[in-house]
Order: sequence, then structure tokens, then C-alpha cells
Amino acid sequence: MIELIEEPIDAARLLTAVSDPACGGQVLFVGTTRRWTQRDPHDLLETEYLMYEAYREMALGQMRSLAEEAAKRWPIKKFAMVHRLGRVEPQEASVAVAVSSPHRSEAFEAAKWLIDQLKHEVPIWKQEHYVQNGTEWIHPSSGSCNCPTHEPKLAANKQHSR
Amino acid sequence: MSGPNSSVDNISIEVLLFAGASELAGARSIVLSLAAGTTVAELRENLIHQYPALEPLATVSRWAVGEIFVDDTHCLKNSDRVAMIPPVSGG
Repeated sequence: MIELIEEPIDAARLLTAVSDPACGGQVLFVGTTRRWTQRDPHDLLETEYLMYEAYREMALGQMRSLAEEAAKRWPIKKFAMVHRLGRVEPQEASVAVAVSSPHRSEAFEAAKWLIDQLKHEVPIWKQEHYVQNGTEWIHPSSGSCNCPTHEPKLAANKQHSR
Repeated sequence: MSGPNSSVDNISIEVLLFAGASELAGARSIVLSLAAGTTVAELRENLIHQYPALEPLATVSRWAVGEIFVDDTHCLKNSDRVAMIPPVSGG
């Protein structure tokens, strides 16, 4: 199951999709949108909602490639990746990844790898709609993520509008 | 490059723009007429020349042709659709 959808993500649907009698473990990751963004100690931004945009055809192709790569690295039986597009309210799920494998450790590893890769490689972008400060497309500078392959860094290469 | 067909050969390239790039350029796509044999690096220079506002994002973007990431030396063909992929922020 690989989808870009404009409706709320139903996490149970992903678990059903990866259900497999040969598997002893399912891992489901759900990424949710934050209401508050602390850019620096004096700048706390409140998000009213987010808009997600994708280069659809390429995003779906990239998600499929990532799943195929994960299946080579770990003994995954089934996988599901769903990303939301359009308007998403704070606290709602914007992305969900589920995998199933015979044993739990590889399911954890594969699910983590998939969500980290998705966030780096798949052409999807979010636009913050702040309560007070207009809108802003988010284009992180390299290394501004918190994944283990990069140094955590707060500053993002963002561009303002309005 | 002096043959009868090469001097006037131009190729037409559609550049797809997304997110902040689309906002900066005020367009979802731009059609450029470029010399045959143009590389991705040359396309980027041409794009920045015509749309200076795109420079900050164009210099940190990745590029895709036919939905596959390509590098700066990739040679473009007539009717290629090139996507400018600014740093992504899904998830």
C-alpha cells in the first residue's frame, strides 16, 4: 500500500494492509503535525494548519523504490506508506509507515529507515500557515533534521511570504 | 558545431516548479528554449538569469528528468520535463 491521500489517515488500515501469517511483528509509525514550532528561545510560532504539496508521480515512484530497497535490506513481508496532501490540522497524522516481518527487530529497523528516507528523498513539501505570521514554505537546509545521519541543527533555510 | 543542423537547433524544456519555487516564480511551470546539448547545470544558470528570485532555492535544489534524479552534467533532450526539487519537507 503506497498512497498520497487528501483524507485523514486511518492507521488501522495500514496495519490491516501489512497483516501476514508469517509475521510476528508489525511496526507502525505515525507522524503528526505540531502546533508549536520553537525556532529560537524568543520565537515560538503557532501553526493554524499545514498545506502539503507533492510532485505526485515522482513521490509515488520514490516511495515504491524505498519500499523495494527496504525489502532487500530486511526480511519485510509487507509494507504500507501513506502521506497526506492538502490541508492538515495540527495534531493530525501527516504520514504513516507500517511494516511487518517475521521478527520485531527488523520491523523496527525497516520502519525507521523508511520514514527517515521518506523525509529526505520524497518530493513532498509543507507550507506552514501561522496564526499570526502569514505563510511559509519549508525548505530545510541540509543537516537541519534530527535523523541519526545528520547533525541536529535548528536553523532552517526558510523563505517568507506575505 | 558548424554543421547545417546544429547551429539553429534549439530544444524546448518544460521546468516544473513546486512549493517555494513555484511561489517565487509565480508559475507552476516554465518553458525554456535552450541550445541543444544543454546540461542541467546550464539550465539552472539560464533559469536563474530569467528568474533571479529563484536563485536561493535553485542553488540548493536537486533536479529530476522523467521523475528520476539526475546530476548537473546530465544532458537534456528536446521535450524533456525537468523538475526542480527544492529541499523536501514531507513527513
